Amino acid sequence: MDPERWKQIDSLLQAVLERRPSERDAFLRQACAGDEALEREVRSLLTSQQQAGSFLEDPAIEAAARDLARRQSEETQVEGDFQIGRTVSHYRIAGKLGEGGMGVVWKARDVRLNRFVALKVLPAAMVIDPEHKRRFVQEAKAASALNHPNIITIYEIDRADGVDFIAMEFVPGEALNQSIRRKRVRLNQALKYAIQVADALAAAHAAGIVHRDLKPGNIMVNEDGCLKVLDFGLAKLVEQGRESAFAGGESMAGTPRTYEGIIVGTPSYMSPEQAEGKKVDARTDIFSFGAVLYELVTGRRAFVGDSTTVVLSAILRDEPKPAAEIARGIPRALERIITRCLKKDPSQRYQHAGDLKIDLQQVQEEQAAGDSAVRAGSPGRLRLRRRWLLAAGAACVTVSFALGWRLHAPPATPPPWTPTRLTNDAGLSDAPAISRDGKLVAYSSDRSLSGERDLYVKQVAGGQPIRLTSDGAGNTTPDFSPDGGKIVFRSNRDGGGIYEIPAFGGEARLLARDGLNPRFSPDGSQVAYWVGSANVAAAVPGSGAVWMAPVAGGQPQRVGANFTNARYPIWSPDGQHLLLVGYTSAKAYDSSSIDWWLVAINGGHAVRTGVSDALFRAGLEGSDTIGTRISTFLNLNMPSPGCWLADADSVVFSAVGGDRSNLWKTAISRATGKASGAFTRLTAGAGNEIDPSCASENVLTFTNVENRTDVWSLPFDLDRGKSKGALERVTQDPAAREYPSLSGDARHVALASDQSGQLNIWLRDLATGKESHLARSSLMQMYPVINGSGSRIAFSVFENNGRSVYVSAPGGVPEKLCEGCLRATDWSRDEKTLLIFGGNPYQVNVLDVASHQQTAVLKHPTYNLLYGRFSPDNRWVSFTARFQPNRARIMIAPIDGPKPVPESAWIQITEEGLEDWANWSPDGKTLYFTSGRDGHTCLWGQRIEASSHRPAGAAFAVQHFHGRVSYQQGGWSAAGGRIEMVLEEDAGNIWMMSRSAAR
Amino acid sequence: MQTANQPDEPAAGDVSQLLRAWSGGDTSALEKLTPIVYAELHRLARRYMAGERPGHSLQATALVNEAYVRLVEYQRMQWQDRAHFFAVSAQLMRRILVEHARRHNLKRGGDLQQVSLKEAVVVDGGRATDLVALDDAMNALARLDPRKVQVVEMRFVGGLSVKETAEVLKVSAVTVMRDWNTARAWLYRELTGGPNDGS
Repeated sequence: MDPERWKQIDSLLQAVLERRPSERDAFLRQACAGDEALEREVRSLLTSQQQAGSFLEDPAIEAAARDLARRQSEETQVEGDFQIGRTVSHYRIAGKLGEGGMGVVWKARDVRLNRFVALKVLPAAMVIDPEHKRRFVQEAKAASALNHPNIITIYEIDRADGVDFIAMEFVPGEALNQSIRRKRVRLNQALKYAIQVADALAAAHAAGIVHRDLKPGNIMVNEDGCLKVLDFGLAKLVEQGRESAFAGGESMAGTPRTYEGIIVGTPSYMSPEQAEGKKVDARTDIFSFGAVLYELVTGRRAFVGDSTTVVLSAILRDEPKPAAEIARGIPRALERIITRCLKKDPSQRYQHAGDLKIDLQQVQEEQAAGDSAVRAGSPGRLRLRRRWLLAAGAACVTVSFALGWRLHAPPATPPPWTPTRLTNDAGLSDAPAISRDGKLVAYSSDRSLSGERDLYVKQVAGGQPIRLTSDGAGNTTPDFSPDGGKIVFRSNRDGGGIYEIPAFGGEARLLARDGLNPRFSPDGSQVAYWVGSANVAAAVPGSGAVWMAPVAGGQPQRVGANFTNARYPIWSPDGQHLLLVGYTSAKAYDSSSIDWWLVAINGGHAVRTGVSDALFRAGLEGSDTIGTRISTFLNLNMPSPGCWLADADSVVFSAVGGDRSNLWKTAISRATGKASGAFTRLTAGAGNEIDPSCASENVLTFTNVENRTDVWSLPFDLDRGKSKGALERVTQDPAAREYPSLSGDARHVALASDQSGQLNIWLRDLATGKESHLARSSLMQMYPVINGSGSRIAFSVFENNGRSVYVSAPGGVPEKLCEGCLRATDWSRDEKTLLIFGGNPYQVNVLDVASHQQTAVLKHPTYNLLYGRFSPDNRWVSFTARFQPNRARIMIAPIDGPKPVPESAWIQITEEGLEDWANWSPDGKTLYFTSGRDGHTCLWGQRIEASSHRPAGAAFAVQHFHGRVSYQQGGWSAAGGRIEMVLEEDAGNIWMMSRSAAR
Repeated sequence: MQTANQPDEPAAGDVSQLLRAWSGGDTSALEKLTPIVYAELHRLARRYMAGERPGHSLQATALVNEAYVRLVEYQRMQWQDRAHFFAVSAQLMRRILVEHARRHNLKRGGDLQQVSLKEAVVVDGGRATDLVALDDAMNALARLDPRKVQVVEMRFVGGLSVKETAEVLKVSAVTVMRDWNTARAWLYRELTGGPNDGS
């Protein structure tokens, strides 16, 4: 394919993608105008584009590593034919939860809904008969559809990628058999559990669903003590599968079974009728329930034996030893309930689980009354106690709604957080600290445009902030002393260090040289901080160390000297430990050795919290200083601890979970130093939320950062090269604006803006701020260039087969000037000709607006030449010569001679730099251009010697963009004593979150 | 085949020096850098096998960029140097990863791989991407439109964001996004042998 054809295809594909899906078809047909090959090609790419999904979205090394993992798994047959990391349907396997007769249960992430599920993979032998499978699916779904708080929710039963699976609610917690094994269940707890199971059975039985395999392994207990019964109906599938596998009529009774890979678990909870292979009904569940309850209250199984045969025989013949003889304190009523459940004859058992539940509740109330009577002996307290019991039952209902988004919601729904905005500045205010009483907030803010920051203090209740520092020396990350009287902060003054200042102003005092992120100890006697470079990844040895300096003066002391890298210390509430990001490997990039560590300040004993792995599994990553995911330029690698909620084992931090940064909370035990591994999201605002600071368990502050693009204006004497005022924001709304072009008198600016939905050309009156649509179109218009008098505007339109340049007067009808030309870049002084560029390689032509005739002015066999700009006397043209994709120079050439101008006549004005255009001063003696020569893209000027037209002296800086505002090649223009630029900015504001103290 | 055993790793300082040597034209640096990238690959792979998701403490680009950023304060760097560095290190990464994949493909036989690739790519881009086939397709695209391949190198291989890619290539973010869209569509079609009908 030749490059021209490819360009055509490329631009057409882009034009199609920029249209609404419903319009694409018609557009494409019209645009291709019968060129079937073209239409076919674009259509096929469009389809590929739609099908590509996340293709190439993960970094290559991840793709390679995943591939490697897959191959290694295949080669070693890890976990049979099913592996971690594998995807089944839209579930990505994350780990094994358990294994039993009904298959293996995996923890998996639903990548569509981004939640964890429990994925039960059924053994192939179980699902041979489609009819059996259908009946099982029906029953399992029916049970799930009861929507009962104690019955697990099934999301999906399906077959994909060669396996049959059940995707169900993931319950963080453990199975009841595990709890029983771990520790004896207390009587009141056992009763609570039993009532929940009885309630689940009652609901299922009422709907005609029998469980058939009730046992502790099928009952999940979550962290709040709520139960979920699993696998309703699944046993039926097994039995039927078994029957079909043994259609020859072999006896089933009394034999240990391993059929076709189905391992039937312990028969200890089977009913006698099941053991005999007879027909079963709801009462079989009652028997199993009795066996479970027996074990719950005694800690022993009701029916035991060395082999399955012995166990089955015990079920058929033996009465278990009375529970009260094994465990003390079992009420007689409870004993009677158990005995009645375990009757060999189904007709002698409870006939309905509902009755069973009522009896259990009766026991529970008697127990509670007994407890109360002993302690208080007051009937009033008894009623109170009963109400509490009812409430405890209801709690599980709440939880069942919350479970689907378990990761994001606290289990018991504590009082909601109320966010309040504390600042409303255009600049970047960040790094807030809140005083312990929750009344004051200190933060750093950049209100000047220099990029430097000062500290401010503000009453949370309202009012203007007090400016604490005024040297703009990068004063950031304040922290209040416990009494609220002092603030420590980082300042870049005098080489940089930690300073202390009175909270309501005064002289700052150096506390420690160097140092970042200072934090007062809870008793106010010490300040912890770290020394190192935040721009270097935490997984690089030697790039950070944590220190502690006495506030009263004295030698700072290193904490955690064993770490090869340590940073971001925060104090634990006891004031005896620091929680920090620690790295222990001597090698770089050893991701297994980075974690949060709890380090004792005396003696330095360190405990690894284990939060790193949990964050990893939860998909939470660190963010940079404006909340974007770890940037390749600013590697922070893992979230750093933000603040420790006083009176709680919770640490608040900022992390990127999806596409933005939010505040999260996790529990770190102060006693053991171990992380719980569970995360609760605290915020979900627009923008990125970072920098948490805690006042108490119920008040915290943070920064919300948003990225914005606006037009800015700088009053500037272009002839003298002198600023006439400060850079000011011209626009301040969400619409995108690009490529401003000023009229000669600087009264109007033409812009490309998407405020009508499509990028179109608009004309803005700079005095009134009113914007009018130049030529409404559904096609994309860009690159306006307005003439000196402001009467006509040339612009590019993305049409069917590429770009065209049009011209229009405000309110007039656009006229096409040329096709396939890319962009007009300047008007001649007489407003009769335009400089345009296009072609391959790009060349600069003069276009006669009346005749549409083009004359080549500048061309080169290999260089791309672009952005022609007439000198004010129209005798010279400035342009950008691009030698390589990333390397260009601004040059000038005389155009009052032969055309095209020979290369020998070109004069180089700038060093190799950014490809952007130049603007002449009105007197023609200075060229202005953007350059990245100092590491930021800034605006520079270069004087030109009058006779030789060569650069005179060094380039001078016009406006630096070293701070929060940056130039990202959104276009700029200079005329009539001002410079108009499109600039990007990260705007940050301080927020507070609070909630009522009642829990 | 390389086992899960970690090859000897040079110290961090070596990484950055090697990268500089490489971007300065010293081709022998490739040989020395390869085991470092392989070690990282195997470490990431192990995390996958343990049910963990890589990308947390070790971003793909970290290997290339972290050492670099550490040595050379990026704020003081000239644009030219940065652009050159990122362009070259993305190319380096591409070479190492492709070489790694190529060895494995040889071991397994090309046909098998081809089948699994097609299925994998169609099912879910996140599952498996045959880097060798992708490399060939990128070479083909480079003949048509070199900048689009540069964008893919920066974004996919180098792990740079749209904004960063735009900075390095000195084009607008919109241009990068457009290049990315077209390149992704084109490469996807190359690798899957044309779009599926009926969409």
